[in-house]
Amino acid sequence: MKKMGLILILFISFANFANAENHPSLEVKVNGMVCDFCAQGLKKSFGKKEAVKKIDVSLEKGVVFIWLKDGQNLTDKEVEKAVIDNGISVVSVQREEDEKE
Amino acid sequence: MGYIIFLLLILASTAEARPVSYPDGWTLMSRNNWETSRLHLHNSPTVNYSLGAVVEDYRNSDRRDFNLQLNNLLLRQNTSTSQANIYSMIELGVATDDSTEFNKALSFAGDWETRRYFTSYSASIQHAEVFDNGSFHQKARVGIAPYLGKFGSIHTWLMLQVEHHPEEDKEFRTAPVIRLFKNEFLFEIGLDSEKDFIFNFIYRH
Repeated sequence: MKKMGLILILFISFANFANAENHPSLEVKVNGMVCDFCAQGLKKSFGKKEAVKKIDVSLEKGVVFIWLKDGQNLTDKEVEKAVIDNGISVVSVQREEDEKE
Repeated sequence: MGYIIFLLLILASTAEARPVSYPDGWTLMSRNNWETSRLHLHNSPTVNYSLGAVVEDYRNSDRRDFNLQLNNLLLRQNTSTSQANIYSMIELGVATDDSTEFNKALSFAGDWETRRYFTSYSASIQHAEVFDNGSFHQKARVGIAPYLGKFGSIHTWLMLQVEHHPEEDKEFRTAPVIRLFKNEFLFEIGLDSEKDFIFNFIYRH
């Protein structure tokens, strides 16, 4: 019984860790990102930033997903500048911690 | 040297795409159609303009142009489902054959697209003493994406292009064009109403 409990705790811990890893640190809702070519520019711009671990894009939702490295941060201003510099408009920047609240 | 330029023009082909890229992006564009083969390399310091060099080889003569090009994004309108742009393009350089003349061209282009529909229009006027006494060209396109691809997948557009060249014997040319792109690569292939091929290629870095 004790063993089963331990396995269950380990399983839940792993599931939580995997979920945190999959959940982006930032979700940036944008306007004007209608083609893959526009999104490639965003990927390259954010990819150059030291704080960024990974980036993904949903063309259908018009959202840029950004994963940050541990202990790193990007301010809303930095995010907005990177998007606007690519000719895309920012609608909102949502952070992981905003969602937890 | 001429052979190398010719090979580059064939391998690489100005595609019907946006003449300004993302900040610090390099773009290699090549266009092959009934009139010319054209190779264009440009850099976009910002999303508002690009500077580049163009080599253009004319099919039915020995004319070859070497130009510098400045492209400007004059207006961009973003919405949640669409983007619209207006650009200006200025080319200055030389047209060469038996003689060498100052060559200049001014173009305006506009486009509007959603993930499903695309439309564009461009008009240009070019002048080079002896070669070209202020020729006017215009072109329009409409397109539809048969499916909506995800980011990073292969995207396909089916387009219809209409060209108008008032000074030419064949004033109007129409062409179905297929555009395919994935990540930094874009290809276009088409066949116009005079049975001349269109082949365009873009690589962005």
